Amino acid sequence: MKKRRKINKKGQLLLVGLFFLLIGIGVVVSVPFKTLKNKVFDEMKLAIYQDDINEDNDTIQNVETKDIEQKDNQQNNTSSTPSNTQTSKPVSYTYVGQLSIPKIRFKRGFVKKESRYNNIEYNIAIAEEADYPDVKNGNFILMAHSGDAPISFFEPLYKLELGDQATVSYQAKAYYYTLVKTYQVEKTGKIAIYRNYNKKTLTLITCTHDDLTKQSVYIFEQTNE
Amino acid sequence: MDLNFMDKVSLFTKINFSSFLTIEEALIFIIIFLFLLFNLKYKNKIVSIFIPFLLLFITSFSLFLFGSDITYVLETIMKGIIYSFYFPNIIFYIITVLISFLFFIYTIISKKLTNKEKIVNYLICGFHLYLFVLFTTNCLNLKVSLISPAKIYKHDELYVLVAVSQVVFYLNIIYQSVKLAVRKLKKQDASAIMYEK
Repeated sequence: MKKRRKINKKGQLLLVGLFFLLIGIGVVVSVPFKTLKNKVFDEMKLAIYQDDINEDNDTIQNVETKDIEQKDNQQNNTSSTPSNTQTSKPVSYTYVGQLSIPKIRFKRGFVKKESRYNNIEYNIAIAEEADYPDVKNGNFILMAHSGDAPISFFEPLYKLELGDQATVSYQAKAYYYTLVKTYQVEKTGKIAIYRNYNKKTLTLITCTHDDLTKQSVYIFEQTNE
Repeated sequence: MDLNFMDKVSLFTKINFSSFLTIEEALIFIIIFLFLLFNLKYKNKIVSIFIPFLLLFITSFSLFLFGSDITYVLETIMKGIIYSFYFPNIIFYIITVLISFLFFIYTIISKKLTNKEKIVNYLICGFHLYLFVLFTTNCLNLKVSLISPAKIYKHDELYVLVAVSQVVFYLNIIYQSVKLAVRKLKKQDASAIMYEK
């Protein structure tokens, strides 16, 4: 009987000890666990955001791949196919963000700078000198064709007026801008961008509507963080 | 990678005797095995406590040599566990449903379980299966592709359904484990009383 009481007491003490040990482990593990949990949630939000953008934007099918193959050949110094053949294959872009301008009902995704499809022949393209929207006081520069072709994404930009709003979503965050300046420059292969260096800006560049000799530059300034 | 069976066997044999270190490692494990074999006869408690700690030390030390890579691996494992709870992919979710289904079948055919235990099992497993059916019908209504978790969890209804489902499943696992542990303790207690008598 005494032995049984001893065993019972031991068992109870063990349970109590185990209980407190679990609580201690829980407290110690909770902080890194919370950090990881937040990481997981952020990754999922980003994946959902990416999925939304890719759904919003149409994929151009049967794009002529001559330019892609030439670029690949230059990068790899190998020639897999002759450069003057043109073949068509369906392509699918992975957008990392989206530009939307409600006034002209414009919405278009953009791929990352390093992508082979970051090219005005396929998408609205990020300029090589551009900063991404999350860079403080940076200048996010987008370029595209205007005209009649299917890839003339910036055709409706000529309808914009000072004070019009634009939104850039990038990495599940939205950046809001207001149009503060527009000007035209001659097509010389270079463009000077006149902007406020103390503010985050968005610059859109395209050929001027109904003028083959000039390019239009639209400067937007960020309205809030 | 493209090795036939004989090549794999010969390569495996070569690895084990490729250097003095690998031979040492093999000898250490053989010695540990022999210790455990001998301990079956002598039932020395010190050996049965010491050997697991020794094995833990050896494996931890070999992992420690990879330092930052191991931190990354551990983080990935933890993230995987968190994903499986908050955002399980469809394969994992189906596996949990299968487990619930098997529990359900076992409860129906089991003669060992009491009526109370059966009722609790029916409720928990039945609810889990009901949530899965609700999830699949909602996916059909929303025309959701089940391939990508992002496509599933962008819909709040599906996220809530899966979250409740996971809570029910893990509660079931905890309940079954606690029940098993209590049953074993009771058995031990009962056998201790019998021994005293």
